[in-house]
Amino acid sequence: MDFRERLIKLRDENKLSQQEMADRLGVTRQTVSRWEAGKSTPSIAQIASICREFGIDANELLDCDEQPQKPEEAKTRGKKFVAAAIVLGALFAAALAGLIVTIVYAVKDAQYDTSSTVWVVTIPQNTPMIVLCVFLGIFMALIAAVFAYVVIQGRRK
Amino acid sequence: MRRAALAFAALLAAALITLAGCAGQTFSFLSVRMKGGESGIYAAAINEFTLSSQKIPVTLTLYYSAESNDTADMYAVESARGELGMGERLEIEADCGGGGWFCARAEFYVDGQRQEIISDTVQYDGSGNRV
Repeated sequence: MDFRERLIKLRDENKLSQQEMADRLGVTRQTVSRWEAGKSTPSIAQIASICREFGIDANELLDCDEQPQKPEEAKTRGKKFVAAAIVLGALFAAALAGLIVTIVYAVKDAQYDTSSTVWVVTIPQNTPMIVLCVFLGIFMALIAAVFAYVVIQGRRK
Repeated sequence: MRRAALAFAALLAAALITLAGCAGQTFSFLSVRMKGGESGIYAAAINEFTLSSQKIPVTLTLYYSAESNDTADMYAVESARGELGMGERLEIEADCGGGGWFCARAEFYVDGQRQEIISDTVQYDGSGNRV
């Protein structure tokens, strides 16, 4: 339903003739006739006057309450959400697995009077430490970026 | 988001390549544990987790001293040797000897180099209860 039809409907609901409506709005009958015929549109002040006179909301009259999402936009948002959900799901699963392993290990540890542990890690002898540091740094930055993205998206919504 | 996903995929690929490059290297988590019981003092060396397929040669020794908690005064009462793969353990057990101080030590060899883990020193009574 376009503006023209909504205006006619409004007049019908109030059981008014074009002349009576024009009188209430302080315009001529021809003006109302042109609005209803779609030949012209009321000014902002006239729209405000219509809303005031008939006690309706401007959004309702202009039908601009909620714009439906364009299908492409919705599709893109959906894809982004799925990608973010996968990444976050993977990180959450890793964190959960770490927590479970830690709890299991702590329970196992409690069965002994004492325990000592050590990580034994060897890397190829010609691997510079700086390469490992950069690699770890990038990985941590990526996790931080995903986290920041989710926080920013959450605030926007 | 697409760029982030690509970067993430690239990093995962890099990680896999790095892991492949580390084939034959060692990435393991070892522990040595000790507890007392009615039958004596029990010690275990455990290969908790390892990425490589190769086994780690381990020598586990249980030390005892009746009078001192100084490891320098302790002497070996039990020992065992084995090769530990993922999840495998080496266990030894010794008599309480009327009570005293015990500690366990695991020696292992990685890349031909000797390394060791030593547990805390724990005092047990003649029944194997922790004092």
